[in-house]
Amino acid sequence: MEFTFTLTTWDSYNAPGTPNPPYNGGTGYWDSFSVSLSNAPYWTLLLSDPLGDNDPLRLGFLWGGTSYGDGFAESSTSTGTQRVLLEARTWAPNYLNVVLDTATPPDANHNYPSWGTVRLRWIDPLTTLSRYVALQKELSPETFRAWGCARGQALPPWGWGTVILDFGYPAIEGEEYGVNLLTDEDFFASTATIMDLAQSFLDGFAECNGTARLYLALGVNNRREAVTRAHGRAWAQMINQLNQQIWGNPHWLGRFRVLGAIDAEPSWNTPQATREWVEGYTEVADLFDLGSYLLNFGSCECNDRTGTPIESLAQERFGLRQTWTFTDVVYISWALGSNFPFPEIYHTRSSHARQWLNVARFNVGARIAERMRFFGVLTQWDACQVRGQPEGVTRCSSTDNRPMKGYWQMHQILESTPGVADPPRFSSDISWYDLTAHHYWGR
Amino acid sequence: MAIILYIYITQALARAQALAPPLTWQTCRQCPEPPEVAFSGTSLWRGNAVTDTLHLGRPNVPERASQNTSVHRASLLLPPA
Repeated sequence: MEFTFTLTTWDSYNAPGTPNPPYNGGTGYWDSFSVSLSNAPYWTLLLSDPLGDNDPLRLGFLWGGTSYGDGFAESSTSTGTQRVLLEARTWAPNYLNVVLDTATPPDANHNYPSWGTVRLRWIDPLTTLSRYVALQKELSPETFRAWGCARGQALPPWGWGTVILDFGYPAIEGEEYGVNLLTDEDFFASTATIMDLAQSFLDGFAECNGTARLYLALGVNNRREAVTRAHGRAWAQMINQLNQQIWGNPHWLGRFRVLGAIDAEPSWNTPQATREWVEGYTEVADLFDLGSYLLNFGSCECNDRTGTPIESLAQERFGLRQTWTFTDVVYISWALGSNFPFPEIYHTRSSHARQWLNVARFNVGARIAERMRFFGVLTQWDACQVRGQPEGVTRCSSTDNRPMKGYWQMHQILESTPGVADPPRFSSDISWYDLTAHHYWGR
Repeated sequence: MAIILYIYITQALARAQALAPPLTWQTCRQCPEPPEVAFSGTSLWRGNAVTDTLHLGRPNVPERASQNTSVHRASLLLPPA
């Protein structure tokens, strides 16, 4: 977490008898300022001075004066932002404590007051594991239940995360809408099948974590011919139905929300087709009652330094004639009111973060919509590892940001340009492979 | 026009609510004497940023002033992962 502070005290917080020239006032553990985490409310903890960084308190910051009774008020002001690492725990609630403690024994009285101001600035999120759904054999309720359970185990009881399941290519078979999987490309899974699997996923999550909250985002990419308005509408209908089931389940209501998601990448399709899919989704998605929002977890592929409009790679690769612009990226990510950006911030040297800064800056400059709010940041560190990677998938080259690194790249670059966008809320890392009973903290 | 404005505001609020759970600060209720804590700023999260400012103790009091024996503290149950 990050904070700034200005603290003042007439009192001391040091070992009795500590030399403190030139004032030579009284000493002892009297008044302390601290920032800490604990698993129960601070006043229920059995504490004694001096406070230490051990159970029941995880101490990130501690300050007090050197003497009292000397006519001298000591002050401490943060130089810039203070950043401390306080590791949350999975098995209990975590309380963030901002404290001026004048009561903890053995030394406590009414004398020599202290005061101060602490301004919080930031609290890091935890990272969830998203994944590609690439194989036909993975499409079973048991598998999805296990995946959901693993996500539940990875989050603390008080946790809240976003998990994206990327089902691959939009597809239409006869009258049915659905997907072709990323690896088993010929296999068609309908929205009805995906809906059942998503329910199993939520069942598994709920079985393994009785309190944490989850945004489950079901995604496709913007590749191939089925990226159409009709497919977007069908996808939104599926998301609506899942959210209606959540509303009908008292154990799920308030904990779970299902979102639509699209991995929209300029090199994969035309802006017109992608816009139509997003428009179709928006036409049907019930935002007000069900909150069936859409995440764009795609890329920008724009010039990260100059911010010039995107020259689409699609033209070179697929003979597509349309060129993407920043307006297109803003439109499919934010401007419709139904959608949020959840960008891929893969590049280890901040290239992708700079691209999305330019998108956000363009949005404000061109007055397309209110300033962007980044729902989260997606990294692919796990997908870049060898394990589970399908044959033919290119190894990552400088695009294997660790989750917190990607998250912080986006956060810091937005913070350095005030007024352009609000920083990301969630962090997720995508994988081809499922890590059961594994969590992503500290990466 | 008013309807469009209403829809726009409602939509913006709904979208903000999707991202911005309120934070609830708690102060000591079992201390020997009441805590001296005040808050300013907003408890809405913008991203993961919190803009809350906590004022601990009574500011600018003289050396010989009296201060409640208490935990002048606030604790926040962290909601997000």
